[in-house]
Amino acid sequence: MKPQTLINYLVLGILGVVILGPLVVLFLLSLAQTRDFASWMPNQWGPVWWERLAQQGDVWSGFTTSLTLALLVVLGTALTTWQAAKAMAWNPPRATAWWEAVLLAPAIMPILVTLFGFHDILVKLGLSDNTLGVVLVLMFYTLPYMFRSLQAGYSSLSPRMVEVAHGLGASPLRIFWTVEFPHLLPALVGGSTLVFLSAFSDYLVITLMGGGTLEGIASVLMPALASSQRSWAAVLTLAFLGLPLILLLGSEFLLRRYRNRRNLGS
Amino acid sequence: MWRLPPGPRTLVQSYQIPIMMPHLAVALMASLLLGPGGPLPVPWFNGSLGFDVILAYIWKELPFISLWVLATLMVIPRYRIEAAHMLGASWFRIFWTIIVPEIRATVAAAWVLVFLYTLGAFEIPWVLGRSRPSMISVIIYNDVYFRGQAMEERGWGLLLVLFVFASLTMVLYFSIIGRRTYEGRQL
Repeated sequence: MKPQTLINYLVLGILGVVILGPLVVLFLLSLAQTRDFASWMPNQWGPVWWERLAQQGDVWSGFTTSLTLALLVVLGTALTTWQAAKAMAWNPPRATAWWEAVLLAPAIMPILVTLFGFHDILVKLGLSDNTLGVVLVLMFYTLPYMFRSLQAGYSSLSPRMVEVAHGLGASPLRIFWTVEFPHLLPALVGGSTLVFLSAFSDYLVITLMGGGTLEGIASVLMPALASSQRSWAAVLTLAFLGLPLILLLGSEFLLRRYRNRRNLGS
Repeated sequence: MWRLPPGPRTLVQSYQIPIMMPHLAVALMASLLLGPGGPLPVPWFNGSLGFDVILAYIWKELPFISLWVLATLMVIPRYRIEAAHMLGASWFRIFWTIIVPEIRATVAAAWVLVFLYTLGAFEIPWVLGRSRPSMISVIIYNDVYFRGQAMEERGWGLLLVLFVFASLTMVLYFSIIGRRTYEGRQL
């Protein structure tokens, strides 16, 4: 093996330890049945805390709330940015860079600025402390991710394909379903993933805008922070990572299957 | 990762896991690992300097920056590096004269983005919360919601400062991105 290849593998190994090491330690902590107060290493091992997770109703209710909110936000951002992304890709306006800056600003601006600005407006509109208000704010700051992905998707699709389909007599719905949608699907999945991850893991927006009426999965984590039950906290942290991971791997699998079935390649 | 064969490259995909990890879960993990009684009980991790917050953000953002740089590295034609190597350029010279100019704009843009994100971030500093003074987002949150009328005004003032600072940094970010696009068109 060349010295440079050895260095490459060494750097990757160190990165692997830094990135994956804490997760391994968390996994070990989650399997601690009993341990001494002063030590983090368990005396006895067992999956008792994982069994507790399966029985804990509030975790699953928090998960369902977060999942519902995240899916609503994904749907909302896709519907609101679709035409804007198409217009920016196919008919860019004057001063495109400034328009893009404006459309991407919500993702870059600190969340507190957005949130506090929205709070007063939503209170005046009577939309605070309910699901619609939370979904609107989450949509606002995750919108750029979807917009950017769909814009990239439309940029790689020639408008001439739509013109040809139109010339051959296809209806707008058929053009969308058979020309635009299959081509945009990877971009849509990419954008949806980013939007989903942001909305699913949100704590601040759900707490402040929901006014205590909504309890997402992050609200389940907060008591664990204050408790001395480290193993329970470790189980919740891993579950918090595992659930979106399973959903995302599932969507990736379905996307590949869809593309293979329609012979669209990878 | 850029130079890896397909097999190990697939394995290294798992390094993206921190991107999927919610900030609150990262904060919880940092408090478990770096806090009192954790496996890394180094005193200055738990002190007032905020090292735990810094380490949590490094862990969270490291794969994000790596992926961004990797995307730029993937478009550098291999023949340029091979040609430089055949002409006798050292590894350091290849890195400095071919790779660095290509990734410079990406690294700068990623730096600005992560800087801005971390500047206004709330969850990790709020949960770990041992640094003194606290981060600006935590001060604003506490001022507006928990410290009474007089401090609420200070909170709104700080929020305005944060907004102006973030806007100026955004202008910097978009000027970097714009320049990169222009350079790309020239090539």
